[in-house]
Amino acid sequence: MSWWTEWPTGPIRTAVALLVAAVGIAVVVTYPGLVREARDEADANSEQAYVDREVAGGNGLVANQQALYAARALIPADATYHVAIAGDYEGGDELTQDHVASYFRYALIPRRPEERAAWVVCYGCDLAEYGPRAEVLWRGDEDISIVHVPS
Amino acid sequence: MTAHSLAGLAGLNALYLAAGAAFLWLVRGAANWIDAVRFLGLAYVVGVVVTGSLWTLLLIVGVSFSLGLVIGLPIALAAGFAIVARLRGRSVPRGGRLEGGWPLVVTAVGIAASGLLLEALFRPARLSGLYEFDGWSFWVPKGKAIYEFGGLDDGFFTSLPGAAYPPLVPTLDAAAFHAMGSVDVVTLHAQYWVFGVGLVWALAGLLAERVPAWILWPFVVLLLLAPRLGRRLQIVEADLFLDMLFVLAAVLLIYWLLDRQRWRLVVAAALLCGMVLTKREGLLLFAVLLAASLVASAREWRIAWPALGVVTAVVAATAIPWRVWYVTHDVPGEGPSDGFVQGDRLDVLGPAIRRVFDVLWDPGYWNIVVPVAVLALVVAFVARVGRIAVFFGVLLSLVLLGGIWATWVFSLTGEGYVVGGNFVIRFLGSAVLLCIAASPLLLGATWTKVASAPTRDTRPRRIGLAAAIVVVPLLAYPVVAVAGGAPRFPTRDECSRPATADAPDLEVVYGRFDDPREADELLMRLTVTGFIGAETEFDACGRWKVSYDAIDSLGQGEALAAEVRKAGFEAQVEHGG
Repeated sequence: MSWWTEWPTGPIRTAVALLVAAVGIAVVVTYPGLVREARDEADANSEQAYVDREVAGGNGLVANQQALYAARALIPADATYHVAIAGDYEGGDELTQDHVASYFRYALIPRRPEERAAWVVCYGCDLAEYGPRAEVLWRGDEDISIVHVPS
Repeated sequence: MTAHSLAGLAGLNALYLAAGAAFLWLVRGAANWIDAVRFLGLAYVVGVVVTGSLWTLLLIVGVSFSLGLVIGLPIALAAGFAIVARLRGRSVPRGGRLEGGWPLVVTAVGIAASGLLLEALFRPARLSGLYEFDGWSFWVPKGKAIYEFGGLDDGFFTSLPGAAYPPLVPTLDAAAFHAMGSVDVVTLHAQYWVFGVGLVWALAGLLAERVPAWILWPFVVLLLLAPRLGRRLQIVEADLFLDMLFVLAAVLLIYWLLDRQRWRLVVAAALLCGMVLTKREGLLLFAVLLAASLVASAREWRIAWPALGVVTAVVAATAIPWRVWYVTHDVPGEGPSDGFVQGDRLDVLGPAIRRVFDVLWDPGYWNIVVPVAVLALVVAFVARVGRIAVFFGVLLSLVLLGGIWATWVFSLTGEGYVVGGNFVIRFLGSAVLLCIAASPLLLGATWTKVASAPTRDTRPRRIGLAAAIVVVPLLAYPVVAVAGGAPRFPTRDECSRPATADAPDLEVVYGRFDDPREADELLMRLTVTGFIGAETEFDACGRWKVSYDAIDSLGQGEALAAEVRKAGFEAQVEHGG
């Protein structure tokens, strides 16, 4: 016992042992929770629909998953495109207005974003502004369209 | 999401390991196989960094990033390092003897506990979607761009957010895509999990040199239990990767200051090069690490400082090409846009300091890591353990000051913004990981100083017991997990589930299409032919399905499918949903 109390080294030994014991207790207390959490998350991930897992961070943000898949199918891999979103567009979630173009940029690579591209993903935009030659190739819920404007 | 992707990743990581192991063998040698296994984690991390840094530099000078380069470079490095090692007289490791007794049993418990946690964390990582904002906003798009275009495409690399961030991590992502054979961003999470395994192994292997097992392993397990560390091992962002390099470099540098083994400095230099190619914070962390090393070696500055100068030169030479690239491409720099000191924002300085300490002390982020590290530092100073305490004391203080500065100058202010936002939490991960490495080193050094000299353990070696403690749980966990259901490897075809018996959800499926126009066209042809009532629907696998769902029985469905096939279409009775 005196080994733990003799001055000056005993209290230091005790302090070291107590700190390691505190960490040991924290480990024992939190360990099962992490194993459980990991299992639950794995189950949730496994049960997800393919499309929900693939769109992941874009769910909600893109308002309609179909828009993303339609854009991939319709816009050629070597083409450029533009995501236009009306200032008063109310679909999607709180990130849609500012970040939907960013998500499309991620999802549509190798297609390149370009301001005046012939392919336009329209979120609530006025299709008339693309002129009479603009062709709506896909139109989905939530007022989203994919438009091709021949040059 | 497929076994093929996982196998590809396994192959790529084996190449990293081979390159790193050969590098470590060259610069350090390996006394025996026990020694080699202990350093396997460090070898892996070094392999990732050396290979990844060279890929990055090659990309910057315009070399095309192809599958050949992905496979060829690590093989060439492994072969080259191994040949030079042999020429320099490095011998192949032989034999090895485990120190037995209770320390071995404690080590076994630690390996089993951390190994089982890593196994548990692999499960969510394997099928995790890409949810992290920065992940899909710029880290992964950069990796995809490298993969798709074979280089640093000007269009993407100058316009994506974080354009000035160096491209090491996107390059590693692109290598993973090549190895997987596709842009599988789901399985990419498993790559980051492997980085995490490398970190844990490397750190434990290094610390075990100087820290008794009973002090070491609780901290190693705690690393995984700190919510912002363990739960984020698989996150497809560069923060934890950067922290990992920083902490391993810090441990190697303090070891070098203590024993002057040159290989430690060489490996630390490689890790530091990786740091400055990972994130702009890498420059800051390199600077604070250099400063702490200079302070801790002040008494031997004649010997230590020139060596640290050489390391700085190597790191600078690695960092400069990327900075030249982005400057010549008109990308705004890495520093704060309003200057490094912002006199007109002094009102934010106080909140920035508070925010840093609030985050640092939050057990919801870091468990009890930080308070324990502070107490360990105090105990070490009281015990006068010397250089280790000075080094970590200075380093932690500088990291905190760096965090406060960055929070202050990079903070967005105004309504809706929290000072520092998420940045401060991510940045402080480096301080916390440093705490995890420092605490056992400080306590181990303290213990060595105040405890009596260790007596030789003459009790049984308990190797069988130790082996059982490691092997049984690590094998049992996956067996139990698989018993609850075989692992799924989802594909886009999983939505097609042919029916073999009556069920309430039957439908006749005429086709599935990536292109909605093809689905509409098929629907029209079916309708014209007389098959009325079919409709198109977007399925849960991202395809447009043309189907007819008013089916009461399998027999009725089969009869309709046969009739449709006779008319020249395809048809199959499936379960709907």
